Amino acid sequence: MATETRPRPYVRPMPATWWLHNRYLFLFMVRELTAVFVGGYALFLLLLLYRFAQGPERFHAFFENTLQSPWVIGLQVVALLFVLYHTVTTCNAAPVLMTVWRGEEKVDPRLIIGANYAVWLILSLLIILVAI
Amino acid sequence: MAPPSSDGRTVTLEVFRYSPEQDQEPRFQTYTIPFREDWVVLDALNYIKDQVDGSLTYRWSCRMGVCGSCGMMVNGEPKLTCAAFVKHYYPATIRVEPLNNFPVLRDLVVNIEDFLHKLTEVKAWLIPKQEKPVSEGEYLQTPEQLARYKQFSMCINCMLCYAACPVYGLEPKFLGPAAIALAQRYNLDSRDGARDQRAEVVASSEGIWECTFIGECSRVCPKNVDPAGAIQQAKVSNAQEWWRSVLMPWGGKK
Amino acid sequence: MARSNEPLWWVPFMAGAGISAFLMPATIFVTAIAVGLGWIDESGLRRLLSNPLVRVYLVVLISLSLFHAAHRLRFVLIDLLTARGALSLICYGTAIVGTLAAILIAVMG
Repeated sequence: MATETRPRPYVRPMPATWWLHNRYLFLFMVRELTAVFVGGYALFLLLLLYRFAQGPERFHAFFENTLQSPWVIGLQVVALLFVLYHTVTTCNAAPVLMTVWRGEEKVDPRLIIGANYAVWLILSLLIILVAI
Repeated sequence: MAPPSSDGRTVTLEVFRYSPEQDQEPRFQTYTIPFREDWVVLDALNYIKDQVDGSLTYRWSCRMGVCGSCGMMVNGEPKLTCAAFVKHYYPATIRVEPLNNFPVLRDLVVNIEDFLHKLTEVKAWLIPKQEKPVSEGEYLQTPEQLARYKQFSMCINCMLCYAACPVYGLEPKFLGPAAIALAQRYNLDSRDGARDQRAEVVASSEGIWECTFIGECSRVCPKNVDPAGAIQQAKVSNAQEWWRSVLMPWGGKK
Repeated sequence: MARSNEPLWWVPFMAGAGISAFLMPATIFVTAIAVGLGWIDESGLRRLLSNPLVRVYLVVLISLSLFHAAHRLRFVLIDLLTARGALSLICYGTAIVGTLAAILIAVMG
């Protein structure tokens, strides 16, 4: 049988909503967007340093009007939730980056994840104890 | 094929059809066929081809999860159709499409040339540090050395990971999960000496650095190869090498 | 094909991922919840900020978090909008300027 047709492959377009295709992709996008809050809070800390450097009056105003504002506190609590998700995803990804071998066996990834959470908890406690 | 022992139950498949000679756009064709407990989606497709519509085109070979040729999208998920049970989806309609992110040649058959080209680009084969004559014997390896790369060697080139990878879908130049995992498989092999050659491709702008560690490749892999892990580990070792060469240019290669 | 210079950005990104994951939740707890509940007052916070070690801590946290966010957001822009080029400049530019500003303020302030 003779066919004169040249193959004309069909290329399916990638929808812009690909990250809504399943819950894993959605959670991936949430993980990536935690960076908005990580970066945003870093800029907020920069502002805190700057206001402090500007002297006691400016810092006093900043403390009363900004730091104690329920809106700013609320926004920080939202940021805290996203940053916590960032912490969880980072700790859980640790065994992917650092595979530890003991002879022919990989060290149980749960051990590495657990160690990361332990370090996180200890550091968090230290920070809070030192600050307060 | 013997007619299925029918207890009257039926299952409906919606199958992606595309004929390059006739169709401008693909279409979906619905087939309602007898339901059988022990069927996989590939059995259902074979039934359709044998009993209902001989024009349906798809690839398959071993039907036991080894050859890697029957990968398709089943209800939007890349699956080996020989391992996806119909009863798992029944009584819902099962939608079968060709693997995502690849050009469709006909019906469920995709063009895999790009992937095959990438496999050769990363030199996914053993290149010994020093070739030695057969008379000198084998290239020996301890079980411990084998364990380092064994997981990555389980790849059957089924390309489910490419169908699952949004980065590959958005940027077809990306080397992609399986090719990098296989490069890593040889890089980690104690008998191999071509890591530097592969790095020219693997650590290029079309390689590991495009990956955003979405992890879908590892989730859909039917052989538990974990390409996402291979890519992240390749990032770590290549990043170490890059910084070493920048900070200690006199040090040469390790 | 040549090897990419991406490790220049990837290593600060990863360092920032770890540092922000470990340190940022507790820091937010201090500046939001502890301040809000009055566990730490203005003079307490001022005392903290005059401590050189706290400043080093903040500079490290600010800088690496900015590099982390810059890299991640650059790839979000690529993944969602296939946007490359100038945008990466803006992402890393912010991180570099932010780092320099933090160091400057911490030293002068």
